[in-house]
Amino acid sequence: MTCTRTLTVALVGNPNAGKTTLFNALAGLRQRVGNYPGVTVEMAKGRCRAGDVEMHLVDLPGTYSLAARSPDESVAVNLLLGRVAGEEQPDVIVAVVDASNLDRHLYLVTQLCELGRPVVVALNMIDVADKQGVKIDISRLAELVELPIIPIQANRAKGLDNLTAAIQQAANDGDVPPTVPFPEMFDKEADRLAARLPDVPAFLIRRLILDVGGQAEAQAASTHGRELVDEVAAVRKRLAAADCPVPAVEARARYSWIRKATTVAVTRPAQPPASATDRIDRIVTHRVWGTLIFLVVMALVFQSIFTAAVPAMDVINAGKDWLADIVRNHMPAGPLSSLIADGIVEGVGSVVVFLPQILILFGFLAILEDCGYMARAAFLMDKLMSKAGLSGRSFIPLLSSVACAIPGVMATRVIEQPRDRLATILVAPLMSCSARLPVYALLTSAFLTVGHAWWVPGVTLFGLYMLGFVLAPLVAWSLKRTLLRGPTPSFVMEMPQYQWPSLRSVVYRMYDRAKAFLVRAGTFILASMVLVWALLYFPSYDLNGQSYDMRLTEMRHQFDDFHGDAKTQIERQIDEVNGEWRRQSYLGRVGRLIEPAVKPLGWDWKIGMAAVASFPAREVVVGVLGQIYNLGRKGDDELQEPLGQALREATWHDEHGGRPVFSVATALSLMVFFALCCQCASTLAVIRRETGSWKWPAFAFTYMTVLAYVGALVVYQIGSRIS
Amino acid sequence: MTLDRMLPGGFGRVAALAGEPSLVQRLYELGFLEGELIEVLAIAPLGDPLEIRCGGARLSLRKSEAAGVSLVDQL
Repeated sequence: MTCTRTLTVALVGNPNAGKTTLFNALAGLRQRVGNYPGVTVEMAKGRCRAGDVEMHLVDLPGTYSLAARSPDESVAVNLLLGRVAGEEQPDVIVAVVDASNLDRHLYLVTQLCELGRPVVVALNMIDVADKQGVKIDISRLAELVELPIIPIQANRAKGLDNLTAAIQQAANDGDVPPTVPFPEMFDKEADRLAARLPDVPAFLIRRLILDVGGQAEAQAASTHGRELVDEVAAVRKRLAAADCPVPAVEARARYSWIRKATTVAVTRPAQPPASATDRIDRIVTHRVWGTLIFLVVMALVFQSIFTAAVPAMDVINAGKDWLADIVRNHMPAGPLSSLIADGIVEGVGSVVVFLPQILILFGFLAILEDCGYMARAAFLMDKLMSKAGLSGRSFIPLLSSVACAIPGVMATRVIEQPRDRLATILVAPLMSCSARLPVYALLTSAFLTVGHAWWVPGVTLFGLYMLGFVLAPLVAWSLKRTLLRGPTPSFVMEMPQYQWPSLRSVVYRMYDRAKAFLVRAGTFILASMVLVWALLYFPSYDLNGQSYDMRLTEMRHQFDDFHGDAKTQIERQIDEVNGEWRRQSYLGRVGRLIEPAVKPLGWDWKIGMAAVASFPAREVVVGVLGQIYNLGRKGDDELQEPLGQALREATWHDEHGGRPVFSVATALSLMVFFALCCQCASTLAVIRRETGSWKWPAFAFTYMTVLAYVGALVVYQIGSRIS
Repeated sequence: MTLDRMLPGGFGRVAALAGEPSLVQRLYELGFLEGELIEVLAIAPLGDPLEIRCGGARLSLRKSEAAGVSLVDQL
């Protein structure tokens, strides 16, 4: 069947109205995410069919009001007004409304009615309202507010057919809804201002007057100058004198209009019954029990990303190695085989290996968010986080980053304030993630176990974790005072009703996050893995013009034919050739080039090169060190002991003549560097994805590298003097 | 009496809102109209913010924000 017509439909609603659940129920998997230049908002777009009509759905970010206070919020308003280039103005606006919180949700609806487009009200959570004893006479209410009102239950996918039918009906009729009357004085002032600004839509003229310091004002100031701002200030003064003060006038007008309708159409019990939410909240926000529950929930989430993901990650790693071996054994040696085995298989593997953590964390987060606990967690942690200039919403993303910064950065979506969200994203990679563990483990076992007190390795590890815990809030605090400065955003948050999470929505969100990670971030990670591979592979001929790859293949064949000592000798030769190859590769040359820069950190060029090579992922440093120190290709676990020994035996080749490269101070300096640097292409790719710009990952990389360098420098310079 | 000084279980009616314009506007939008009944439900274990009931909704509000909400005793 061919479509006869398409409709653009925007979904708008308060946070917690069930808007995204409705969107997912309507669009299913037929959706994608759209980014807008210069802002961090993402709007999901989806399609759904109803009869012969194809609907293009746009899911706008949840908001209490159309009073835009940030560029992010004004994108939504401009989209609804058809003022975003390349985006069609919606044919119909669907306002998603929580029936158990009707008056407040209708506030936004009355604003939507002023956009000059048909509005359909999707009355969600009627079951919740019913349980609270709230009875809504829907047809009476629809009559009074002169809008089509369709009862739905988004989490059970009920009432959707009626809703799509009403959307089509509204589009056919094209009726523009009635608007809430404002005091006459206000309308007069608005008209006068409109005459002066003929190119500004009436809706924005009203916002210009109503939103003190809002986006409409900022926009008008930039196009019409200071003079206009003064004029608007004069308008507000006159309104205040006439007893219609801004912003009270808006709330009074809208709420009195809403209440006129709801007092007739809605009957509420005189004494609202103590709801389940009341009873649960008495425990969950309790001083003692609330704190205890919070700690248990966090420990559970945190522990599960740390441990439950491990078996799956091991399987992925094993599968990756198996696949790489097959490629090496079945393809003729040469750049192609190496590209596939070392570049692509390793690259894809290093992306996919994060998938278990992402799925587990987002499964938990979706459940916590849907059942309403997330808002309580933010409530409990707000005081602590506000000390760093953040809000309680930043706590979970930062905690998740201890397992892995990637899901942590992705979890910052719960933070409504763009500036807070950005600050959280930028400091999340400072938390010590699990990828740092192999580096810590290698160096502590090589340098801090033998000949040191039993508690030294443990205390070192603890110290390295504390470094992140202390620095992340400090950096956030300074970011909020410098780069991300601005008016302190208010943190007025709704605490939603508790409810059972819907399986559909939880599974959907896990799928969505996993897909976003694999598709958008994966391509970049893969590209950077291939780049590092190429820099380590080329030039691939030795001084005699022989290919290293060929030499190694030959030696490996011999290896199989020999036994005993001869075998060990061949093995050593293989490692030597491998090492020579890496040393003269482009990356090896870079390592030697940067040696003067890393020497103050106590590093030789090999460590410097390994640090550079670990750009795609920190844990790569272990493997690269193994290659440079002639240990060939082995799994991290097998590598640890011989590599630790090789590191202990490594000596300077230059004027220091034979002095060991590694001292305790060097090991500490390297660990501090890896604790603070942002050597993780996946994290950078995810930051790019979440902020919509390369500016922020570049910033995160730069500031963290500087921090890491300075940290390592301080540790080495002090450490080497003490010992 | 301002809202930030109330204890859990206490309630009152909104008399006036003061403070930063965007905060005042947000509070109005959420239904903090003059005469509206506000009830303090809980204080977070760390002493801030407050959990309050306004209209049908539960909201979390920092004490610094609640300081702008003056209340009068009920009735």
